[in-house]
Formats: sequence, structure tokens, C-alpha cells
Amino acid sequence: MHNMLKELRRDKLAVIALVLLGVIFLMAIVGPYLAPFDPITQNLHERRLGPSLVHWLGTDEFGRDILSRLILGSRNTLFIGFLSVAIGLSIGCVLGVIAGYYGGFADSCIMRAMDLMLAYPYFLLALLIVATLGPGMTNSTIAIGIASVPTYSRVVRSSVMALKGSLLVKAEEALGATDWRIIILHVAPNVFAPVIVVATLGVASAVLGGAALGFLGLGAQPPTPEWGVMLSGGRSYLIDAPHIALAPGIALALLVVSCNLFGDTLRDILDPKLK
Amino acid sequence: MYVEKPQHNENDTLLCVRNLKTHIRSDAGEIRVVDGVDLQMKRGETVGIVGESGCGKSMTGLSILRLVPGPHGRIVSGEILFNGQDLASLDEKEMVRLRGNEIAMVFQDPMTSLDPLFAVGDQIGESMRFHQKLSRKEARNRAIELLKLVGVPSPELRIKDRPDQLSGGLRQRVMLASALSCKPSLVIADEPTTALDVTIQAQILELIKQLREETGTSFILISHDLGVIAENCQHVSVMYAGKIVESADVRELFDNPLHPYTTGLMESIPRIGVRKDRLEAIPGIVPNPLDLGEGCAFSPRCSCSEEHCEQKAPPLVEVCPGHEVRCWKYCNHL
Repeated sequence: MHNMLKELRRDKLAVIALVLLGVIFLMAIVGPYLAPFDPITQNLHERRLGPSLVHWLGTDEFGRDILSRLILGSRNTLFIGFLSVAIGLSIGCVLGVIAGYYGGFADSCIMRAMDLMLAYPYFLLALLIVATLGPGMTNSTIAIGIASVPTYSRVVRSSVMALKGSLLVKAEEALGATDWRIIILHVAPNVFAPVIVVATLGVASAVLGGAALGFLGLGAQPPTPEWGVMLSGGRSYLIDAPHIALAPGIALALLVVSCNLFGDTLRDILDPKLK
Repeated sequence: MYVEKPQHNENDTLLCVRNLKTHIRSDAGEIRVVDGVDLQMKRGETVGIVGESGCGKSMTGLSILRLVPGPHGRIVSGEILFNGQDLASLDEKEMVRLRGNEIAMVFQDPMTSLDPLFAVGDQIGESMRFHQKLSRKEARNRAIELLKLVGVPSPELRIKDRPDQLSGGLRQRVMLASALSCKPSLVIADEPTTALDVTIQAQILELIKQLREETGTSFILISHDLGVIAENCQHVSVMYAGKIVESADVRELFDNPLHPYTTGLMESIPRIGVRKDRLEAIPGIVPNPLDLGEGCAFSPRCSCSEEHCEQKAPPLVEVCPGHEVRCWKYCNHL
């Protein structure tokens, strides 16, 4: 752990990414105390105001303070991003371990199902699921989670397969360890590194997916502050009042870039070959 | 320091494998990797299995532990009597209890058979905590004792090391320590020295010899190297294409090799003091296990092959007490 921090510090970009992620997380946690205005109450007298000392980032098409909406929206955006990764990861890991470790018929069944899901573009699949489940933030989280299952299960499966064929597992078997013991004690920690990297990168695409669903009106429903929804609201005023769409857009970009940078660094740190 | 499990009679049979057949299914057909192997060993004895790569010697070892890689591989028939109990008929639960506890296995490459994420002490202790329900602390103390037994210097410090901090020789010692951790009566060592350089090889072999004397553990030594076998074993079986072609006490086999394959193997070893420009090689390659045909599997490469060799496989005959060979040359007196 200490080594990890040391290596992190060497990489300037990763530090910036980590700080940004920290700020966004902090925003999500203490948002209600931080936000200067109520993010939902409309004030039609102050529509589409540019940035000023009162409204730092200006107001949106209904006169709501954009900064407040951004701060409170971070919670929803992160909720979609992380929870959907958690959903995708847990299902994907279980499927991947079963497929990779036991192989044979189970492997064929699971992986063909995953291939079927992969045949649809990621976002189209999420769209399909959310159309079935109905719009809403929880449903779009579930949809993105399910749509990302194949990615995780493939990564987990290939790592597990490589391990399964190694002498390590054979040696453990020869020492009388049961399958579950081997999986939990030796396989899981060894596949953790590649999986956690994919997951960090996955957060970025899940955040984007959630925002996109929100943009299309299938995710969080107005007036809930969510970055994708805010972006969609500002779309009509791109020329007259570009700040309405620009603020959530830049926030989203920063979040996604931070996640990606952090994931890249994590991969470098966790890859024993680069040490 | 090393307490033996309840000792059976000195001279009784520890392991008796009869007509073991292990097949692996492939797209091209059924491969008979182990084709009717018989093996017998007494308690405290070291038995060697030699042969070229792919002759089925490792598979024989894995079959004894019932670790043939599934789903394509399986033991087709045969008996594996260990302490009088037939392992081939045990269920998986009983096998798990037996593996590591009664029979342990050491593999060829110590670089990959240890978990890179765990301290070696924990890995040695793992099977003791599992089989003998030792506490973490007890397992740790036993791990230190075991590392001392296998000759690792300052074991108190070493147990905290991760495998990548150890050299190949030390890692193989760690593997031996974890194999011996539950005081098994049999250790199957599959090419234990192949991945090590020559000086370390000698050390590990010396260690195996010493462990056998100190602990009374029996070893099955699987190797392609006749020298390794000669140094360490009392009894040798030579395998070719899934079958044992010659089996004898080590001295008898080296003094009086009968099977053309065994003599071929011996002639391909360089000898110090004998000037020879070229070593004799056995012509040809190991036959494709899918089309072995009816005759003797070695006949296509054999210098004394005759017509009937290719038509009918020879039986294993006892030429003199304790010396068995599978070749038509020695069937005349029958």
C-alpha cells in the first residue's frame, strides 16, 4: 500500500486525476451544505443569466443556479456510474469465474450468452434494457450495469483460465485444497488486478452511459439534478446561453478523464511486469 | 522434530498400481496416455519413472492423485491401492482429504507453482490449517520448522518473503516443505529439478535423499534424466508411449539394461572418461499416440525390430527376479 502511494506520487497526471475525483466525491457527500441555492426551485425572473458573483456559473433555462445543480447532480451521476459498475462487476465476476474455472459446457453456455450481448453495441443494449424496464435513474443504473456484464466476465474468464492452467492451481489441488478454497484464496486475489483496472475505466463509460440515457430522457427525470439531464436541458440554448450546457459538459469530461487516467495508472502500478 | 504418523510394518506395500489406464479425449480420437501401467512400491522406498516427454509419466503421477485434467481426461480403468485402499473408487471428498495429507505432489516449475501474492510461510501453512485445523500461529511455527528441515537459511525471516523474493532453488525447497507439511507417506515429485540449474539440481536431489532418510517418506521421482534416477531411486520403471517397458532395481537396470529403448537411453548419455565423437541417438521420434497400431510401440525406432514386433505387442515378462521387460526378444523361453 505504501509502495502504491509512492508510485502514484511519481505520476503527476494521476495525482491531478485523483484530486479531481476526490473533489467530485466530496461534492457528492457534502453537496447539500455546499450548494448556495436550492437546485430545484425555479426562478423564472432570472432565466439564462450568465456567470456572475451571485450565480458563479450562471442560471439555467428555469432560473436555477447551475453551480448548485452541478454540486447536487454529482451525487446522482456518481450513483449511476459506480452502482452500475458494481452491478456489472459482481454478475460478470461470478459468471467469469464459473466459465473460466469449470470450462466445458458451463463455459460455452455463459460465453455464448455474453457474445450475444456483445453483438449489440454497449449503449444500444442499455437502451434496450431501459426501454423494457421503463425510464428512471434506478432502471438506467441497472440497464448500464447489465450491459457491461460481458466486458467484465470476459476479462475475469481469461484471467481465471490462465490461472487455472498454471501449476499454481495444480499444486494447490495436489495439496488437497477444494475448488472453492482455491477460487477464493488464490484465484480471486490474482484476478483482482486486471479486473480493478477494467472497473475504473468502466466507471467512466458508465457515467457517460448514464448521462446519455439522462440526455435522452430515459435516465434521471427532471427536475432531478443530473449532469446528463442538465446537458440535455442546455442543448436548446447552445448559441444564446452556452454556459448552461457547457458547465455540466465540462464537469462530465473532467470526471471521465480522471477515471480513465486513474485506471491507466492503476494498471501500471498493478502490472508486476512493469515493476 | 519430525514425528512419524503411526508406522505400519516396515516392509509392507505402500502403493500398488494395477493396470492403470488414463485416456484423454481429443478431436482426433481417444489418446491412451497411460496404457496399463503397473507400479508397486514399499514404504520408505523411492521409485523412479523415466521416459521421454509425452510418454505418460506425469500423467501417471497425476492419475495416482486423481488429478487428471478434466473434462477431457479420465481414468478409464485400473486399481490404485494406497495403504490397501483403492483410490480409483474413492469419491472426490475423500480424495481432497487425502491429497496433501497422505500423498503430496511437487511440480516441475517452482516459479509458477507458488502464489505470487502470498508469503511463503502462509502457503506452507495453508494445507496444515486445512487438513490438521492448526491455528495461524501453530501453522507458522510448523512452517519455520519445515523450512529448517528443507535447509532454508534463517527461516524465521524467510517465511515473510513472497515467492518473487526467492531464488529458484529456494522456491523448490519451499515446495518440498509444503509437500511435507502434513507428513504424507508418499510424495510424488514430477521433474523436481528440471527447471533448476545443475548445482541447485544436485542440492535438491541430495535434499530429497536426506528427507527420505530423516522422515521415512516414500518418493516417486518422475524424470527424463537417467542420472537423477540413478542417484536417488531403489527401483526404476522405464516408460514408453504410456506403457512400462522395463522395470528393475536401479543397479540391475543400469548394469543389465535389456529393453532396446533402455539401452538406447543409456547410450545417449555422455560419459566422463570415454572419448566419443558422437553420442548414440535413438532414431525417430515418439510415435503419434493416436495411431500406435497393434504392435510394439517402439518397433518403428527399434534396431532389433522384427516382423512380428509390428504385428503384436509384447507382454511384460519377468526375465529374472524383480526385472521385468516388455520385448519379444526376451519372450523366447516362454
